[in-house]
Amino acid sequence: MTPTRRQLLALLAGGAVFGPLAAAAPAPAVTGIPADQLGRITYLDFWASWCTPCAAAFPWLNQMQDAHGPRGLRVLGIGLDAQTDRGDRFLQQHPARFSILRDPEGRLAEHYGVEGMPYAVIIDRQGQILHRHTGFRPADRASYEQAIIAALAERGGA
Amino acid sequence: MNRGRAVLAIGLLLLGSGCSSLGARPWQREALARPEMNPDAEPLRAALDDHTYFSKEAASGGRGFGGGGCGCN
Amino acid sequence: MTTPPSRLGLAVCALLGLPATAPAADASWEIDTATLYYGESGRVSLLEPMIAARRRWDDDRSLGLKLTLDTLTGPSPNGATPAGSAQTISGPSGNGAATTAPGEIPLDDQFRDTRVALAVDYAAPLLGAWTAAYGLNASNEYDYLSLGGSLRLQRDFNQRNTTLALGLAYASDRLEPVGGVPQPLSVKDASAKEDGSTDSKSVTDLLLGITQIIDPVSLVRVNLVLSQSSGYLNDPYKILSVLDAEGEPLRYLYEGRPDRRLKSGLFAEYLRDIDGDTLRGSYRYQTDDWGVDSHTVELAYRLPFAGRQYIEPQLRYYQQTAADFYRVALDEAESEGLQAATADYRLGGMSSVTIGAQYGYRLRSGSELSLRLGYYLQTPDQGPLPAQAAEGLSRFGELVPETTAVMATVGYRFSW
Repeated sequence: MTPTRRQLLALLAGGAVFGPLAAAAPAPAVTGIPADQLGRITYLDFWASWCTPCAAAFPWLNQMQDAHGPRGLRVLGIGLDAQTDRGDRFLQQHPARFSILRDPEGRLAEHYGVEGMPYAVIIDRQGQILHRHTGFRPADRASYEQAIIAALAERGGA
Repeated sequence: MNRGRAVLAIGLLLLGSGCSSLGARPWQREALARPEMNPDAEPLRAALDDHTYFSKEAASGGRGFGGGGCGCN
Repeated sequence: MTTPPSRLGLAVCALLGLPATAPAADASWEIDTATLYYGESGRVSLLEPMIAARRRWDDDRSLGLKLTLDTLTGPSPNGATPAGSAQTISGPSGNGAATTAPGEIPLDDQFRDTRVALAVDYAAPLLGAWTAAYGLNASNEYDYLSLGGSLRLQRDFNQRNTTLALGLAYASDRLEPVGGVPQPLSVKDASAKEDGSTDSKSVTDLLLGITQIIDPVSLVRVNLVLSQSSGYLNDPYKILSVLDAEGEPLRYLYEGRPDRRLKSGLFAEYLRDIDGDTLRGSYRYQTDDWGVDSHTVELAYRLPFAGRQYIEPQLRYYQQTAADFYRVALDEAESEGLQAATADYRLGGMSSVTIGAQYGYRLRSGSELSLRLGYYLQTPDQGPLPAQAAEGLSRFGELVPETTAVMATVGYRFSW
């Protein structure tokens, strides 16, 4: 093989190998949402107005808040729209029966290591991460709910 | 076919070099989610163009598919 | 006769993807239609309606169907050069002779039927994070049949900032030209052609591509393409003039191209969001073993206005070098011992410009109407004339035709 060809293959291989590694796994967070928001098992849902599956998740999130709220679950939707008026319009079209927090600069997203949209993180009373998953697929709703039930059973209770 | 090999070499360089350091965080894809920012947004127009120009010129194709968008799900 | 769109390796059409935009929340059929009118003044005109339907499911599977019709009518240059006296050249079946006035570029008026093409594709997740798309396509017209299949593999990396695509397509075509398949470089009207004779060709295409998000407002796509054709690659209706010293035709020969062609190319596209406007630019370089090298540059800028409308000016520049075996015409000396020769202006040197604009309007229901208008101007780069006939030919002005055309496309897409 000529030197040039070897270099070219190395470049291509390098990009292919180190590329995926660069998307490093996020470190577990202890703080993130404001301290006065801790104290309950919280399901953080990261959403944005331009994300279609995020809209599909809202009715289900309402159901989860209604069903598991009495058992101590708190759903917290974190809006990542850089332009908050777009987030406002989204909330008018998709009403939420759960709390909403706005994160236009993406600091909370960065902190919790959001890997895709929508993104869900379940945290305990101290803010320790119990579960996370990317995306919202209607077919997987049962498994998402299982994660909530497991979190409540493990760290929940009055 | 020296020219063909040069094309392949430039292409491999472009493909292999530093792809991993570029990009947008998942929550920063609002502009990329717009349909106009999808390179495959108008497949019929692309097909009609390819047919038209293939009928009048010697070259054809090249466009391909996949990628971009809001990155959701 | 212009090479109708069916001659395009439908394989390549199959590799043109379908939109990856987030679908309507309710899994429904997305219908997309476009109808092209193409008209060259005094020459061919074409009407090509297309309708595509796509259905997506929540588990990332999708099914697409596309139907294309095209009707092409009107005369086009047959490859012969102008002469001092009127030329009468018979049609492909030996009758229907067309007479060309002195000094005019000869045209032939092909009877053309309607072409029908159908393409189906199905995409589904494969192992792990890979997605596969399988395509089948068929195209039929009175003198041509094409069948093909394709496979596309795709995977995302780097939190969907990088997408790798691999594509393979194959098409097998069969020609049954009116009047039979001529022997390449044989003398027109002198040699026997078997009516009803057929010939075939096959095309294999390979694509390797990367789409890379650069930053929150821009992305780039780079593709490498390879295409191998083999079989009967000639246009059975095209001829060359064999000229005497005065530039008058002695006889006509059917064209003859090599029976293999390997094309390779690089395509790069850049998209950028500029405060809600969209800039799109692309460059394609293509080269092949016939000696044709080409460059294509396209530029478009989409300007939304009044909330639901947009205007998008578009510009395209193209240039190519002539094929090694391209000849404006032949003289007696050259007509002996030829391996390949063609006077088809589409394999000659040329440059072209397309200037146009697209207008779109999104209705309240979410459906979108679009209108695209373009003007195409192609200027040939004639190249060298046959030595013995050069002086004779210089009497005439244009030997290789210039092409100007108007294109209009109406599009409508909606969910159903």
